[in-house]
Amino acid sequence: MKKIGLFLLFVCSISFQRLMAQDFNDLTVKESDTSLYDEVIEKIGSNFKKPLEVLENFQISGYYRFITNYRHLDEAYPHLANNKNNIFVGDDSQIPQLMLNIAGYTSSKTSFGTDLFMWTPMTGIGEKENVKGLNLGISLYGNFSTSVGNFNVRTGGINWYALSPFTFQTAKGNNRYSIFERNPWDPNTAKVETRYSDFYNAGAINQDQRWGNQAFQGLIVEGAQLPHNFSFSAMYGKTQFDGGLSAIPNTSYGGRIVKSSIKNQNFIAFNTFNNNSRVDSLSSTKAGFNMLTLESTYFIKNFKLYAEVGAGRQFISNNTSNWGEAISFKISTDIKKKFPTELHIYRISPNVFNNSSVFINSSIQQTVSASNSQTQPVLIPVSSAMLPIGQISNNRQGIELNTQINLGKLKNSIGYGNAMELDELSNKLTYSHAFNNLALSRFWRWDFPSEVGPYKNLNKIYRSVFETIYITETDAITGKPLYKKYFNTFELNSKYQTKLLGKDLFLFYLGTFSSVQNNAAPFVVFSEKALLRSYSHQFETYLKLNARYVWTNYVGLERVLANYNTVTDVVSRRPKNQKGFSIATGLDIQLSKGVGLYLRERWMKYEDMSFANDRYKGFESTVELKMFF
Amino acid sequence: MYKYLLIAMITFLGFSQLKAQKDRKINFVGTARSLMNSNYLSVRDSIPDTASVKRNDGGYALVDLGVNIKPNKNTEILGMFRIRNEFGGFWGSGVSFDVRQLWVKGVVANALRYQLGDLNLKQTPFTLFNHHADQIDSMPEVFNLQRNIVSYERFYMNNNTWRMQGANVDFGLSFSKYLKEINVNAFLTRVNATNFTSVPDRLMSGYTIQFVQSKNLQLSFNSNHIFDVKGTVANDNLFKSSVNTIDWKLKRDLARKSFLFGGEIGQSHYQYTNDTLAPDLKDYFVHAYAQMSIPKWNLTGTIGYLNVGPDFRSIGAQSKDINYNAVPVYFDRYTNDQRIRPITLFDVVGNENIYNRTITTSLMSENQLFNQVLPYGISTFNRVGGYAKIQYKNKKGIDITSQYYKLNEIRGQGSFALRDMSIFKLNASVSINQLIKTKKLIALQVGTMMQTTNRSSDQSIENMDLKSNQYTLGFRWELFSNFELMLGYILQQNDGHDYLPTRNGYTEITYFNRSDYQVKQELAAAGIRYNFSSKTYLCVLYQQSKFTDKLNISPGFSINQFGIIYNITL
Repeated sequence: MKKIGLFLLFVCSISFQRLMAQDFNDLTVKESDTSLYDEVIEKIGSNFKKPLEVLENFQISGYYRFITNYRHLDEAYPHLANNKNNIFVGDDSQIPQLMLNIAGYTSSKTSFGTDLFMWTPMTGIGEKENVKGLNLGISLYGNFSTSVGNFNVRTGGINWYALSPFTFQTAKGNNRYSIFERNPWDPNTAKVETRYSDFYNAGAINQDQRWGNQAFQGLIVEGAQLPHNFSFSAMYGKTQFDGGLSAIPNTSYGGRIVKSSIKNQNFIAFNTFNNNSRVDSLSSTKAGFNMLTLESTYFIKNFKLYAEVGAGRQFISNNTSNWGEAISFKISTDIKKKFPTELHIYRISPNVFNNSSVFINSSIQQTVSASNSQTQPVLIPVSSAMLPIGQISNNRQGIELNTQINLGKLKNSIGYGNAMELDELSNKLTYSHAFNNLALSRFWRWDFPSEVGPYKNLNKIYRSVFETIYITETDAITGKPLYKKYFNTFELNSKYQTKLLGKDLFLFYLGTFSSVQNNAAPFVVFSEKALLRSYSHQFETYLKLNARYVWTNYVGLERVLANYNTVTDVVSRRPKNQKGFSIATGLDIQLSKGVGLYLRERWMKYEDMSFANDRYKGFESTVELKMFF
Repeated sequence: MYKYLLIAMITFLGFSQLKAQKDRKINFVGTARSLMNSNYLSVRDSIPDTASVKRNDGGYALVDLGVNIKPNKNTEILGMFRIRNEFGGFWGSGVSFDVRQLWVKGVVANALRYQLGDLNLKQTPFTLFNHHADQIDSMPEVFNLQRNIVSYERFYMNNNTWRMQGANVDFGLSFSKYLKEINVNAFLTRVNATNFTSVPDRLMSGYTIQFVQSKNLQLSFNSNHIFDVKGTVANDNLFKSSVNTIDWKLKRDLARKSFLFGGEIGQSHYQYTNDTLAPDLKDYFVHAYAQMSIPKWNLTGTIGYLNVGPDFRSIGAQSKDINYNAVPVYFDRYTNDQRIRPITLFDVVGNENIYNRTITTSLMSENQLFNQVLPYGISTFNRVGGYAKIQYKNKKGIDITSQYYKLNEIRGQGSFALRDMSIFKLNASVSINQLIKTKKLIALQVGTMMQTTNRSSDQSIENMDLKSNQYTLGFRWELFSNFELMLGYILQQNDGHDYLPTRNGYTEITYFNRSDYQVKQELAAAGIRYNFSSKTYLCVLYQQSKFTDKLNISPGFSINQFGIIYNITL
């Protein structure tokens, strides 16, 4: 009894404290002139009648990231001939040096947030050069519950969001990538080796909130737990592809309605995403696109069936294209409970255009169909692209097979892709250079220029560069190729963990083999019958030296070969014959909790045996200090 | 012993919590808003308009984040900055940072209160007062969404203050005999900064000494001076404007009725010290009223007398909130000739671009479409006459107010004949839900305002006759918990002609322009609002406005607007 009484007394004392604390706040409002505040409504002079209401819950978090590169080129592209040694402080792909995430909670239902960044380029000028700004901007949030469901609202700044793959999403790929170079958004991990152990164990690393999502600015409303297991989302605003400060109307809108199953994860959804832009200053000419799909996931025994079927079209002025089909069908299963496997079949008409979806546009000239008021000069390849498995394109149909085969400690992620164009629209082929993609993208800072490089065939996109070659067998009048193109890709990502001198050692290999040819083939074509062949090998090792240090190493090899049905060099009269080699080493150092230092030293050598000016050789040193708070 | 120990522990824990709350020195205060709109203009002109932009989209998201610092119990500091990003600005483009406000306030020696920095000030309706003279009294709630944003942006605070920058002090003295207390308030603000060559520093100072004899009787002396500071530029021609007034209030309760006799009298002097062209304007005003309240009948009636001399100038009271020469933010030009679009109801309701934050020392233009009788509120000069108001307001949610003003000019303008003016206003709001006893809000509001101005003269050219009628209708219905449907409609018609004076920099009339009107303006809106709290809401709004000039002096046009507003206010 005594103990119960004591416990009750203790609970009452806590309650009493809170009650008294509330009452005391009210007492700060006083009438007399001896206090800061007064209750009288009509008062001469200055009018501050009562204390300001404060944000009870106000949070600031963020990170500091210092990154600098030093690059030396023994052989450089012409535009760098006078800048063979280059020091750059910062990350032009994502500026923030100090990033603050500020959140204020005005109630349990409403809040706002913004980020704020600061950056000092350290050019010696001082504070005049310093940069401040917002990255994602200001967002307002709200949620409320009603008898018919729960609703969330987001509006204002940029939110990372997704609908379905064909409507509003980015390609997630199949987690086959090199993790040697760090992304700006990569976190520090509690243990220095977690990034590599996660990649080995889970097949993926911790990704930022943007993974698989697209940037959207405007209003997003979501409803969940609606009657009959419905949910919905609706969005109205701008994407980064139709962003811009011009008052000329340029908006995107869409949403989805989902009916979910109570018993399992089955669902069916209707999705739509549309863009309506005006392309002239008088806002008289319209351009845009529409996309409508039905999406469903169905589990049957050990199989997961996923399908998205829909149609899309684009329009400019009074010209509206016909609707084109967009189909994606996936079957996933775990064969013998050992080999997770997924088969993906897809077909996307050349009439379908949506620059916010998982498929890239290779059929429609972007400058014609979209608004010209973009602030994000991201050039989307408008040609036939040699794509990694998991990245699809319109004007194409194909099949992809992905599986995971683990042999003891050796884990292998294997991908096979086979696709073809639907219409022969473009005589251009594009591809990228995996072995040195990031370092190559740093040859051009700040902007995303296209048609640069010694032969004006390189195009920079976000943290990457793609190269364009031209097919020569084209119709003399239309300029279109005489045949459709066929694409084959094979990827192997192997991971192995062992110990070396008692230390954890992770070994990763990523091999990518791709070919483009003018006839169907069951597998990657390794002969000159292929218009273009690309082979790359990337080896990485990560040795955990101790609790604070990981020694990282990388070797990359690449061969790209075109045949004589592509443009040849005027001097050598030979088609592309490119070799790339890169070797790098580095250290991940955990300086203290939440503080990481990352060093990378990369040597690179690249040359095209046929196009003599297309070569570079040198090294790049990178130092990154990142700390979270 | 054990029992006493427990009590002591509880008490100690309780007070330690109290102290923690009280002693928090730094707090954050904040407001956030997101606004997106899409606008469409259509022009009705004899020549099809192929030159104007017909559509525009816009919007922004902003955060006003303030740091509220209390270094001790007698001092408070607020520094607030604004971060704003324009709609469509990705990855940091279209971002601006501003300091929204900065002030410090405190108490000295437990007797004197002061505030320094950004201030909201007012005195009396004839000294320093924001009359909001052209605003619609019974604005439907659906339009108030935008008006409240304008008020917030311009620091209007909904209490007739003007935003100033300077210092303010006030203190009071209490007495035990004859007099209850004396309250003193004084301020000094800067109105214009010097440009170090031709424009001197211009300051405004003022004070109010209020004698409170009891809760029933008070008398105040008010003074407001605007002056140039000598020596801040080489020019020794200095401007001075001063207004001195006395106002009083006497209350009496008799036979279950409350009586209030109040008023204000004063004089002004407007001059330049060394300008032969400048007039030396001196004049006076009288405002007296009597009010009777009958609580039993929920009635309050007021009659009043107003006499404001033609040379009465009071910059603090005669500054207008709307600048009719400002450029509207949407579709500033239209028609094939790219004329400047006139400011209409659409702009008055929600265009913050045309609103002033603080007083202006030059007499601002009036706009007869919106206010032809009292463009500067009751401090409008050259008016004599009377008014009457009656209000019925009960606890069942019925509020009806009627006002009538009958005024004349004191001095003719361009004529010996005088203008006769009248205003009739009737506003009613009904909380239907209280009448039919339901919990969900259903409210109706209606209003009308009729203004007439006419002048009859022996010279027919001097005759003028202008009528303005305004009708408002508003409806709110809480469909579901916190979900409201709002509808609103405003109709305004102006018919007739008048002679609008053109004034020089000394407020003297130099010319008259005849203005003919057969104008009709309509504004209709529908919105759905979800109220997270009394001050935080999300609203989707559609608004249509139409401007028609039958005389085609300004070609007609329509502006349709779709908007989404999410407002978070503490």
